[in-house]
Amino acid sequence: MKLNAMRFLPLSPAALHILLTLAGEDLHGYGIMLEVARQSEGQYKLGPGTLYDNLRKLMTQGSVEEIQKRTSGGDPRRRYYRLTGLGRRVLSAEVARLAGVVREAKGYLLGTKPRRA
Amino acid sequence: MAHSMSRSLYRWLLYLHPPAFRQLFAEEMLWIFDEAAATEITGNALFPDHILDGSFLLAKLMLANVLARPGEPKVIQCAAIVCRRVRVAAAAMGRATGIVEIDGGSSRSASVGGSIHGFLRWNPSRCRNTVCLSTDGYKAG
Repeated sequence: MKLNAMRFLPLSPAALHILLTLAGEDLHGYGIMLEVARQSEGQYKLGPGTLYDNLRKLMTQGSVEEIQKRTSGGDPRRRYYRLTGLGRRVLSAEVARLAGVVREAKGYLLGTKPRRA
Repeated sequence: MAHSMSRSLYRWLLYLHPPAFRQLFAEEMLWIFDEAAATEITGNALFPDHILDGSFLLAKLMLANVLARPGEPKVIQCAAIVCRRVRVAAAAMGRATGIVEIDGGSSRSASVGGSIHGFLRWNPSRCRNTVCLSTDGYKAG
């Protein structure tokens, strides 16, 4: 049975960034933090507390899962996370929702949409 | 010196987090602290951020526990995780009457685990159910 991704929307900025980074590759916690900073060009910095609080929620809802990945020479405390099928659907739905918001905003800001009275 | 003091403070802060959360993430959060300390190029600027961030999360989790109604989850467990770890967390809490089992550690078992997160959202010490879960499905008794 497929869970409806729409029920998890809208995502918090932290959750959106986490899903976005994991869409590219499986990462450990610190890797997620660095990738979020890189993707947002340093504008959004995720602290460990915010990261794990959101990871916990995403894992509970089944969007993210931990995977067993051993890398040679890696710290044993390091754990890797992966986007699940549900997570990918949630991310797609959120991106589509945001695209709608941006389209609407552009309409107003560029004056192509009349203001309501 | 400053680093070791910051680390001790951060470790103490992590110790104050709810046991289930601490069991799952504290070691990795401490690893990030160490990793960031080793790679940070702006001196100690990062450490207050980590401590502030950890304090904020701690306050949030404690507030959530205080505001939770009786019978509702007081400690939120991670479900979409290989079950071995959840069992360890439950055992570490003590007084656990609930047992959760997921065969193997596959992604399928983890996603099945996600679908029964309602069971795991209970504080294990409050859990009255025994949940037997396999890759073929689950039954509660």
